[in-house]
Amino acid sequence: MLFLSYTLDFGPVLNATIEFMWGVLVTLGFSLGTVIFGTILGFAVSMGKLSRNKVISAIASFYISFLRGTPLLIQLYILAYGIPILFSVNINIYISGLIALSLNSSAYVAEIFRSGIQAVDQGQIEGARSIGLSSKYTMRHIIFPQALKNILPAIGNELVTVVKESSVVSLIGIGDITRVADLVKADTLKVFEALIYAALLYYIITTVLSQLIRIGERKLNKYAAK
Amino acid sequence: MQPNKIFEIKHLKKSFKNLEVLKDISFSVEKGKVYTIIGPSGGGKSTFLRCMNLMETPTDGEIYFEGKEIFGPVTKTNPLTKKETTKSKVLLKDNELNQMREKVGMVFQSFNLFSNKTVLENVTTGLTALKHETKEEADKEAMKLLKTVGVSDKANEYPIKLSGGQKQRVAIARSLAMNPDVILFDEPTSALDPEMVKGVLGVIKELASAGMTMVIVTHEMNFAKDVSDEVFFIDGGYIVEQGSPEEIFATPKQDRTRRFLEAIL
Repeated sequence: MLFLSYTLDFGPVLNATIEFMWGVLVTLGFSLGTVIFGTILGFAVSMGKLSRNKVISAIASFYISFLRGTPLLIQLYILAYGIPILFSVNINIYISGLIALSLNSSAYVAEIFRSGIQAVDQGQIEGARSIGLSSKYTMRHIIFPQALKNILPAIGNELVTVVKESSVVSLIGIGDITRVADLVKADTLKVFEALIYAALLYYIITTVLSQLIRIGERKLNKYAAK
Repeated sequence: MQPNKIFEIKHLKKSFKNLEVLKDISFSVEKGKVYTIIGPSGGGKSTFLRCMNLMETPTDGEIYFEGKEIFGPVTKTNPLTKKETTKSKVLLKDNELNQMREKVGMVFQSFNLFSNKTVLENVTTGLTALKHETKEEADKEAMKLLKTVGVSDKANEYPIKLSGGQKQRVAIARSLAMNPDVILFDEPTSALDPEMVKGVLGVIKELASAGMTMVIVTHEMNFAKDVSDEVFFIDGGYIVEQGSPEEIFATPKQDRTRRFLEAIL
Protein backbone atom coordinates (compact mmCIF):
# COMPACT_ATOMS: atom_id res chain seq x y z
CA MET A 1 0.00 0.00 0.00
CA LEU A 2 1.02 3.53 -0.77
CA PHE A 3 1.63 4.98 2.67
CA LEU A 4 3.73 2.05 3.74
CA SER A 5 6.43 3.21 1.35
CA TYR A 6 7.21 5.84 4.00
CA THR A 7 8.69 4.74 7.29
CA LEU A 8 7.88 6.95 10.27
CA ASP A 9 11.01 8.01 12.14
CA PHE A 10 10.61 10.43 15.06
CA GLY A 11 14.28 10.13 16.04
CA PRO A 12 15.64 13.23 14.26
CA VAL A 13 12.64 15.33 15.35
CA LEU A 14 12.94 14.23 18.98
CA ASN A 15 16.59 15.24 18.85
CA ALA A 16 15.33 18.79 18.38
CA THR A 17 13.30 18.66 21.61
CA ILE A 18 15.29 21.48 23.23
CA GLU A 19 14.51 23.75 20.28
CA PHE A 20 10.85 22.77 20.52
CA MET A 21 10.82 23.62 24.24
CA TRP A 22 12.14 27.08 23.42
CA GLY A 23 9.28 27.27 20.94
CA VAL A 24 6.84 26.35 23.71
CA LEU A 25 8.21 29.14 25.90
CA VAL A 26 7.89 31.66 23.08
CA THR A 27 4.32 30.56 22.30
CA LEU A 28 3.34 30.70 25.97
CA GLY A 29 5.01 34.08 26.45
CA PHE A 30 3.28 35.57 23.43
CA SER A 31 -0.09 34.12 24.44
CA LEU A 32 0.14 35.39 27.99
CA GLY A 33 1.34 38.83 26.86
CA THR A 34 -1.45 38.97 24.30
CA VAL A 35 -4.16 38.11 26.80
CA ILE A 36 -2.84 40.65 29.32
CA PHE A 37 -2.57 43.52 26.85
CA GLY A 38 -5.61 42.36 24.91
CA THR A 39 -7.72 42.32 28.08
CA ILE A 40 -6.63 45.80 29.18
CA LEU A 41 -7.21 47.21 25.71
CA GLY A 42 -10.38 45.18 25.20
CA PHE A 43 -11.82 46.52 28.44
CA ALA A 44 -11.15 50.09 27.33
CA VAL A 45 -12.72 49.41 23.92
CA SER A 46 -15.81 47.85 25.50
CA MET A 47 -16.24 50.93 27.70
CA GLY A 48 -16.00 52.98 24.52
CA LYS A 49 -18.62 50.89 22.80
CA LEU A 50 -20.97 51.16 25.78
CA SER A 51 -20.35 54.89 26.04
CA ARG A 52 -23.29 57.28 25.75
CA ASN A 53 -21.09 59.42 23.49
CA LYS A 54 -22.09 58.39 19.97
CA VAL A 55 -18.75 59.31 18.36
CA ILE A 56 -16.73 57.25 20.86
CA SER A 57 -19.17 54.36 20.53
CA ALA A 58 -18.97 54.45 16.71
CA ILE A 59 -15.16 54.49 16.77
CA ALA A 60 -15.13 51.51 19.15
CA SER A 61 -17.63 49.64 16.97
CA PHE A 62 -15.51 50.22 13.89
CA TYR A 63 -12.36 49.14 15.72
CA ILE A 64 -14.03 45.88 16.73
CA SER A 65 -15.59 45.15 13.35
CA PHE A 66 -12.38 45.95 11.45
CA LEU A 67 -10.17 43.74 13.59
CA ARG A 68 -12.70 40.91 13.54
CA GLY A 69 -13.45 41.36 9.87
CA THR A 70 -9.91 41.18 8.50
CA PRO A 71 -7.43 38.29 8.66
CA LEU A 72 -5.00 38.28 11.56
CA LEU A 73 -2.20 37.48 9.12
CA ILE A 74 -2.85 40.67 7.14
CA GLN A 75 -2.97 42.68 10.37
CA LEU A 76 0.35 41.14 11.38
CA TYR A 77 1.95 41.94 8.00
CA ILE A 78 0.68 45.53 8.13
CA LEU A 79 2.32 45.98 11.53
CA ALA A 80 5.52 44.09 10.74
CA TYR A 81 6.10 45.27 7.15
CA GLY A 82 3.65 48.06 6.30
CA ILE A 83 4.05 50.41 9.25
CA PRO A 84 7.91 50.32 9.21
CA ILE A 85 7.85 51.39 5.55
CA LEU A 86 5.25 54.09 6.14
CA PHE A 87 7.23 55.70 8.95
CA SER A 88 10.66 54.45 7.82
CA VAL A 89 11.44 52.96 11.21
CA ASN A 90 12.63 49.58 12.32
CA ILE A 91 10.30 47.77 14.68
CA ASN A 92 11.48 44.71 16.53
CA ILE A 93 9.55 41.71 15.17
CA TYR A 94 8.68 40.58 18.69
CA ILE A 95 7.04 43.92 19.34
CA SER A 96 5.17 43.87 16.01
CA GLY A 97 4.01 40.34 16.74
CA LEU A 98 2.84 41.16 20.25
CA ILE A 99 1.04 44.32 19.13
CA ALA A 100 -0.72 42.53 16.25
CA LEU A 101 -1.90 39.66 18.45
CA SER A 102 -2.96 42.03 21.26
CA LEU A 103 -4.92 44.34 18.97
CA ASN A 104 -6.66 41.40 17.34
CA SER A 105 -7.47 39.76 20.66
CA SER A 106 -8.66 43.05 22.18
CA ALA A 107 -11.49 43.20 19.64
CA TYR A 108 -12.76 39.79 20.74
CA VAL A 109 -12.20 40.59 24.43
CA ALA A 110 -14.10 43.86 24.02
CA GLU A 111 -17.13 41.90 22.86
CA ILE A 112 -16.73 39.50 25.80
CA PHE A 113 -16.74 42.44 28.22
CA ARG A 114 -19.63 44.17 26.48
CA SER A 115 -21.87 41.10 26.47
CA GLY A 116 -20.87 40.21 30.04
CA ILE A 117 -21.78 43.69 31.23
CA GLN A 118 -25.01 43.82 29.25
CA ALA A 119 -26.03 40.43 30.60
CA VAL A 120 -26.28 41.90 34.12
CA ASP A 121 -29.93 42.57 34.97
CA GLN A 122 -30.92 46.13 34.02
CA GLY A 123 -32.72 46.35 37.37
CA GLN A 124 -29.34 46.42 39.14
CA ILE A 125 -28.55 49.70 37.42
CA GLU A 126 -31.98 51.11 38.24
CA GLY A 127 -31.66 50.10 41.87
CA ALA A 128 -28.34 51.88 42.13
CA ARG A 129 -29.29 55.02 40.20
CA SER A 130 -32.56 55.32 42.15
CA ILE A 131 -30.71 56.03 45.41
CA GLY A 132 -28.49 58.57 43.67
CA LEU A 133 -25.35 56.54 42.94
CA SER A 134 -23.43 57.85 39.92
CA SER A 135 -23.15 55.81 36.75
CA LYS A 136 -19.42 55.39 37.38
CA TYR A 137 -19.92 54.10 40.92
CA THR A 138 -22.71 51.81 39.71
CA MET A 139 -20.54 50.34 36.98
CA ARG A 140 -17.57 49.81 39.27
CA HIS A 141 -19.20 48.49 42.41
CA ILE A 142 -22.47 46.93 41.28
CA ILE A 143 -22.40 45.95 37.60
CA PHE A 144 -18.78 45.01 37.01
CA PRO A 145 -18.37 42.60 39.95
CA GLN A 146 -21.45 40.73 38.69
CA ALA A 147 -20.31 40.81 35.07
CA LEU A 148 -16.96 39.23 36.00
CA LYS A 149 -18.75 35.95 36.61
CA ASN A 150 -19.67 35.86 32.91
CA ILE A 151 -16.44 37.41 31.68
CA LEU A 152 -13.62 35.46 33.37
CA PRO A 153 -14.39 32.02 31.87
CA ALA A 154 -14.71 33.58 28.42
CA ILE A 155 -11.35 35.33 28.85
CA GLY A 156 -9.91 31.93 29.75
CA ASN A 157 -11.24 30.50 26.50
CA GLU A 158 -9.76 33.47 24.67
CA LEU A 159 -6.34 32.46 26.09
CA VAL A 160 -6.76 29.00 24.55
CA THR A 161 -7.70 30.56 21.21
CA VAL A 162 -4.72 32.90 21.34
CA VAL A 163 -2.32 29.99 21.93
CA LYS A 164 -3.42 28.55 18.60
CA GLU A 165 -3.73 31.82 16.68
CA SER A 166 -0.31 32.95 17.85
CA SER A 167 1.22 30.49 15.38
CA VAL A 168 0.94 33.20 12.71
CA VAL A 169 3.90 35.03 14.25
CA SER A 170 6.10 32.24 12.91
CA LEU A 171 5.58 33.84 9.49
CA ILE A 172 7.49 36.99 10.46
CA GLY A 173 10.34 34.90 11.84
CA ILE A 174 9.49 34.61 15.54
CA GLY A 175 10.70 31.30 16.99
CA ASP A 176 7.45 29.89 18.36
CA ILE A 177 6.43 26.22 18.16
CA THR A 178 5.32 26.51 14.53
CA ARG A 179 8.54 28.25 13.49
CA VAL A 180 10.63 25.57 15.22
CA ALA A 181 8.59 22.90 13.44
CA ASP A 182 9.28 24.65 10.12
CA LEU A 183 13.01 24.77 10.77
CA VAL A 184 13.21 21.19 12.00
CA LYS A 185 11.20 20.06 9.00
CA ALA A 186 13.65 21.71 6.61
CA ASP A 187 16.63 20.47 8.55
CA THR A 188 15.66 16.84 8.97
CA LEU A 189 13.27 16.47 6.00
CA LYS A 190 10.94 14.71 8.46
CA VAL A 191 7.93 16.84 7.49
CA PHE A 192 5.15 14.71 8.93
CA GLU A 193 6.92 13.95 12.21
CA ALA A 194 7.89 17.58 12.85
CA LEU A 195 4.32 18.79 12.26
CA ILE A 196 2.83 16.05 14.45
CA TYR A 197 5.27 16.94 17.22
CA ALA A 198 4.23 20.59 16.98
CA ALA A 199 0.53 19.68 16.92
CA LEU A 200 0.95 17.53 20.02
CA LEU A 201 2.69 20.35 21.87
CA TYR A 202 -0.15 22.75 21.05
CA TYR A 203 -2.68 20.13 22.07
CA ILE A 204 -1.03 19.54 25.43
CA ILE A 205 -0.88 23.28 26.14
CA THR A 206 -4.51 23.92 25.21
CA THR A 207 -5.75 20.87 27.12
CA VAL A 208 -3.90 21.80 30.29
CA LEU A 209 -5.11 25.40 30.00
CA SER A 210 -8.71 24.28 29.45
CA GLN A 211 -8.54 22.13 32.57
CA LEU A 212 -7.10 24.98 34.62
CA ILE A 213 -9.88 27.26 33.38
CA ARG A 214 -12.50 24.69 34.29
CA ILE A 215 -11.12 24.45 37.84
CA GLY A 216 -11.05 28.24 38.09
CA GLU A 217 -14.62 28.45 36.82
CA ARG A 218 -15.81 26.00 39.43
CA LYS A 219 -14.16 28.06 42.18
CA LEU A 220 -15.72 31.21 40.75
CA ASN A 221 -19.17 29.65 40.68
CA LYS A 222 -18.84 28.52 44.26
CA TYR A 223 -17.95 32.08 45.22
CA ALA A 224 -20.77 33.50 43.12
CA ALA A 225 -23.38 31.12 44.48
CA LYS A 226 -23.26 32.50 47.98
CA MET B 1 -45.57 77.71 44.08
CA GLN B 2 -46.20 76.72 47.67
CA PRO B 3 -43.24 75.62 49.75
CA ASN B 4 -44.90 72.40 50.89
CA LYS B 5 -45.08 71.07 47.35
CA ILE B 6 -42.53 68.38 46.65
CA PHE B 7 -43.47 67.72 43.04
CA GLU B 8 -45.35 69.85 40.59
CA ILE B 9 -45.85 68.22 37.23
CA LYS B 10 -47.50 69.93 34.29
CA HIS B 11 -48.71 68.47 31.00
CA LEU B 12 -46.30 65.56 31.04
CA LYS B 13 -46.04 63.49 27.87
CA LYS B 14 -43.99 60.41 27.17
CA SER B 15 -43.66 58.40 23.99
CA PHE B 16 -41.64 55.29 23.28
CA LYS B 17 -40.90 55.48 19.55
CA ASN B 18 -44.42 55.78 18.08
CA LEU B 19 -46.25 54.63 21.18
CA GLU B 20 -47.63 57.52 23.19
CA VAL B 21 -47.83 56.22 26.74
CA LEU B 22 -48.48 59.46 28.63
CA LYS B 23 -50.60 61.98 26.80
CA ASP B 24 -51.13 64.82 29.24
CA ILE B 25 -50.62 64.38 32.94
CA SER B 26 -50.56 67.08 35.58
CA PHE B 27 -50.00 66.10 39.17
CA SER B 28 -48.71 67.63 42.34
CA VAL B 29 -47.32 66.04 45.44
CA GLU B 30 -47.63 67.78 48.80
CA LYS B 31 -45.45 67.09 51.77
CA GLY B 32 -46.74 64.42 54.13
CA LYS B 33 -49.45 63.11 51.85
CA VAL B 34 -49.94 59.67 50.35
CA TYR B 35 -51.02 59.33 46.73
CA THR B 36 -51.98 56.11 45.06
CA ILE B 37 -52.20 55.56 41.34
CA ILE B 38 -54.52 52.83 40.12
CA GLY B 39 -55.55 51.72 36.68
CA PRO B 40 -55.29 48.96 34.11
CA SER B 41 -51.93 47.54 32.99
CA GLY B 42 -50.40 49.42 30.10
CA GLY B 43 -52.23 52.59 31.07
CA GLY B 44 -49.04 54.49 31.86
CA LYS B 45 -48.96 54.28 35.68
CA SER B 46 -45.42 52.96 36.02
CA THR B 47 -44.09 55.11 33.21
CA PHE B 48 -45.48 58.17 34.96
CA LEU B 49 -43.85 57.20 38.25
CA ARG B 50 -40.52 56.56 36.51
CA CYS B 51 -40.70 59.98 34.87
CA MET B 52 -40.92 61.65 38.29
CA ASN B 53 -37.34 60.76 39.26
CA LEU B 54 -36.27 60.98 35.61
CA MET B 55 -35.59 57.25 35.41
CA GLU B 56 -37.41 57.74 32.12
CA THR B 57 -36.94 60.99 30.26
CA PRO B 58 -40.33 62.45 29.38
CA THR B 59 -40.97 63.71 25.88
CA ASP B 60 -42.68 66.96 26.85
CA GLY B 61 -44.01 68.88 29.83
CA GLU B 62 -42.58 70.40 32.99
CA ILE B 63 -41.47 68.91 36.28
CA TYR B 64 -40.63 70.95 39.38
CA PHE B 65 -39.00 69.29 42.35
CA GLU B 66 -39.02 71.27 45.62
CA GLY B 67 -39.46 74.50 43.72
CA LYS B 68 -36.73 73.85 41.19
CA GLU B 69 -37.51 73.13 37.56
CA ILE B 70 -35.80 69.82 36.78
CA PHE B 71 -37.42 69.16 33.42
CA GLY B 72 -38.90 71.68 31.05
CA PRO B 73 -38.85 73.45 27.74
CA VAL B 74 -35.65 74.91 26.37
CA THR B 75 -35.75 77.21 23.37
CA LYS B 76 -32.92 77.01 20.89
CA THR B 77 -32.27 79.19 17.86
CA ASN B 78 -30.79 77.52 14.83
CA PRO B 79 -27.78 79.72 13.91
CA LEU B 80 -28.36 79.25 10.18
CA THR B 81 -32.10 79.50 9.72
CA LYS B 82 -32.73 81.67 12.82
CA LYS B 83 -35.66 79.40 13.45
CA GLU B 84 -36.57 78.84 17.08
CA THR B 85 -37.37 75.38 18.34
CA THR B 86 -38.61 74.49 21.79
CA LYS B 87 -38.03 71.09 23.28
CA SER B 88 -38.38 69.89 26.84
CA LYS B 89 -35.17 68.63 28.39
CA VAL B 90 -33.68 67.44 31.65
CA LEU B 91 -32.41 70.63 33.27
CA LEU B 92 -30.05 69.01 35.77
CA LYS B 93 -26.39 68.16 35.42
CA ASP B 94 -25.47 64.53 36.13
CA ASN B 95 -24.42 65.23 39.72
CA GLU B 96 -27.53 67.34 40.37
CA LEU B 97 -29.69 64.54 39.03
CA ASN B 98 -27.99 62.12 41.43
CA GLN B 99 -28.53 64.51 44.35
CA MET B 100 -32.21 64.81 43.41
CA ARG B 101 -32.56 61.03 43.37
CA GLU B 102 -31.11 60.81 46.88
CA LYS B 103 -34.18 62.75 47.98
CA VAL B 104 -36.61 60.72 45.87
CA GLY B 105 -36.61 57.11 46.97
CA MET B 106 -37.89 54.41 44.66
CA VAL B 107 -39.09 50.90 45.42
CA PHE B 108 -39.47 48.57 42.45
CA GLN B 109 -41.77 45.69 41.66
CA SER B 110 -38.72 43.47 41.06
CA PHE B 111 -36.85 44.72 44.18
CA ASN B 112 -33.57 45.36 42.31
CA LEU B 113 -31.42 44.62 45.35
CA PHE B 114 -27.70 44.47 44.60
CA SER B 115 -27.11 40.72 44.21
CA ASN B 116 -23.38 41.02 44.86
CA LYS B 117 -23.94 42.62 48.25
CA THR B 118 -25.35 41.37 51.55
CA VAL B 119 -28.61 42.71 52.92
CA LEU B 120 -26.69 44.99 55.26
CA GLU B 121 -24.41 46.22 52.45
CA ASN B 122 -27.44 46.90 50.27
CA VAL B 123 -28.54 49.43 52.86
CA THR B 124 -25.10 50.82 53.76
CA THR B 125 -23.85 51.37 50.19
CA GLY B 126 -25.69 54.67 49.79
CA LEU B 127 -24.73 55.78 53.30
CA THR B 128 -21.00 55.25 52.81
CA ALA B 129 -20.81 56.24 49.14
CA LEU B 130 -23.12 59.28 49.23
CA LYS B 131 -23.66 60.38 52.82
CA HIS B 132 -19.97 59.88 53.64
CA GLU B 133 -20.65 57.91 56.79
CA THR B 134 -18.00 55.61 58.22
CA LYS B 135 -18.65 51.89 57.97
CA GLU B 136 -19.50 51.72 61.72
CA GLU B 137 -22.01 54.57 61.55
CA ALA B 138 -23.56 53.15 58.38
CA ASP B 139 -23.81 49.62 59.82
CA LYS B 140 -25.48 50.95 62.94
CA GLU B 141 -28.00 53.00 61.03
CA ALA B 142 -28.68 50.21 58.54
CA MET B 143 -29.33 47.71 61.34
CA LYS B 144 -31.81 50.12 62.86
CA LEU B 145 -33.64 50.42 59.54
CA LEU B 146 -33.59 46.66 58.95
CA LYS B 147 -35.14 46.25 62.40
CA THR B 148 -37.86 48.77 61.50
CA VAL B 149 -38.84 46.80 58.40
CA GLY B 150 -38.43 43.47 60.20
CA VAL B 151 -35.49 41.78 58.48
CA SER B 152 -32.56 42.49 60.81
CA ASP B 153 -32.01 38.73 61.26
CA LYS B 154 -31.09 38.48 57.55
CA ALA B 155 -28.46 41.25 57.64
CA ASN B 156 -25.58 39.04 56.54
CA GLU B 157 -27.44 37.00 53.92
CA TYR B 158 -27.26 37.64 50.20
CA PRO B 159 -30.53 38.67 48.50
CA ILE B 160 -30.79 35.31 46.69
CA LYS B 161 -31.51 33.65 50.08
CA LEU B 162 -34.48 35.92 50.82
CA SER B 163 -38.18 35.55 50.10
CA GLY B 164 -39.85 38.19 47.94
CA GLY B 165 -41.41 39.84 50.95
CA GLN B 166 -38.07 40.03 52.73
CA LYS B 167 -36.42 41.43 49.61
CA GLN B 168 -39.00 44.16 49.35
CA ARG B 169 -38.52 45.08 53.01
CA VAL B 170 -34.78 45.40 52.39
CA ALA B 171 -35.48 47.53 49.32
CA ILE B 172 -37.63 49.83 51.44
CA ALA B 173 -34.86 50.04 54.04
CA ARG B 174 -32.32 50.83 51.32
CA SER B 175 -34.44 53.66 50.11
CA LEU B 176 -35.18 54.95 53.65
CA ALA B 177 -31.46 55.03 54.39
CA MET B 178 -31.08 58.01 52.07
CA ASN B 179 -33.57 59.90 54.25
CA PRO B 180 -35.69 60.80 51.23
CA ASP B 181 -38.34 63.54 51.09
CA VAL B 182 -40.65 61.30 49.10
CA ILE B 183 -40.72 57.62 48.13
CA LEU B 184 -42.11 56.30 44.86
CA PHE B 185 -43.46 52.76 44.98
CA ASP B 186 -43.81 50.98 41.64
CA GLU B 187 -46.23 48.09 42.25
CA PRO B 188 -44.34 47.03 45.39
CA THR B 189 -46.40 43.89 45.99
CA SER B 190 -47.13 42.69 42.45
CA ALA B 191 -44.24 40.22 42.37
CA LEU B 192 -44.92 38.81 45.85
CA ASP B 193 -46.52 35.57 46.91
CA PRO B 194 -49.99 36.32 48.31
CA GLU B 195 -49.01 35.56 51.90
CA MET B 196 -46.18 38.12 51.73
CA VAL B 197 -48.32 41.01 50.54
CA LYS B 198 -49.89 41.96 53.83
CA GLY B 199 -46.60 42.31 55.66
CA VAL B 200 -45.07 44.58 53.05
CA LEU B 201 -48.21 46.72 52.85
CA GLY B 202 -48.05 46.92 56.65
CA VAL B 203 -44.56 48.40 56.45
CA ILE B 204 -45.75 50.98 53.91
CA LYS B 205 -48.72 51.86 56.12
CA GLU B 206 -46.39 52.43 59.04
CA LEU B 207 -44.37 54.83 56.91
CA ALA B 208 -47.58 56.62 56.00
CA SER B 209 -48.55 57.09 59.61
CA ALA B 210 -45.04 58.33 60.35
CA GLY B 211 -45.73 61.12 57.87
CA MET B 212 -43.66 59.96 54.89
CA THR B 213 -44.69 61.45 51.57
CA MET B 214 -45.39 58.65 49.11
CA VAL B 215 -46.64 58.01 45.60
CA ILE B 216 -47.73 54.41 45.19
CA VAL B 217 -48.68 52.58 42.02
CA THR B 218 -50.70 49.59 43.17
CA HIS B 219 -53.29 46.98 42.30
CA GLU B 220 -54.22 46.49 45.97
CA MET B 221 -57.48 48.41 46.11
CA ASN B 222 -58.22 47.88 49.79
CA PHE B 223 -54.78 49.12 50.64
CA ALA B 224 -55.27 52.15 48.37
CA LYS B 225 -58.57 52.88 50.10
CA ASP B 226 -56.88 52.67 53.51
CA VAL B 227 -53.70 54.56 53.03
CA SER B 228 -54.32 57.29 50.44
CA ASP B 229 -55.05 60.94 50.85
CA GLU B 230 -55.72 61.10 47.14
CA VAL B 231 -56.32 58.42 44.51
CA PHE B 232 -55.57 58.81 40.81
CA PHE B 233 -57.08 56.59 38.16
CA ILE B 234 -54.80 56.61 35.10
CA ASP B 235 -55.80 55.00 31.83
CA GLY B 236 -54.86 55.56 28.21
CA GLY B 237 -52.16 58.07 29.14
CA TYR B 238 -54.51 60.44 31.00
CA ILE B 239 -55.63 60.94 34.56
CA VAL B 240 -59.21 59.87 34.06
CA GLU B 241 -60.30 60.71 37.57
CA GLN B 242 -58.80 61.87 40.84
CA GLY B 243 -60.17 62.36 44.29
CA SER B 244 -60.33 61.17 47.85
CA PRO B 245 -60.51 57.38 48.33
CA GLU B 246 -64.22 57.74 49.20
CA GLU B 247 -64.94 59.61 45.98
CA ILE B 248 -63.04 57.21 43.75
CA PHE B 249 -64.10 53.93 45.33
CA ALA B 250 -67.63 54.75 46.53
CA THR B 251 -68.85 57.29 44.02
CA PRO B 252 -66.71 57.26 40.89
CA LYS B 253 -67.90 59.85 38.37
CA GLN B 254 -66.35 58.46 35.23
CA ASP B 255 -67.66 55.45 33.42
CA ARG B 256 -64.19 54.09 32.82
CA THR B 257 -63.29 54.25 36.51
CA ARG B 258 -66.51 52.48 37.43
CA ARG B 259 -65.94 49.71 34.89
CA PHE B 260 -62.35 49.21 36.05
CA LEU B 261 -63.37 48.98 39.71
CA GLU B 262 -66.25 46.63 38.93
CA ALA B 263 -63.93 44.34 37.01
CA ILE B 264 -61.43 43.93 39.82
CA LEU B 265 -63.40 44.31 43.06
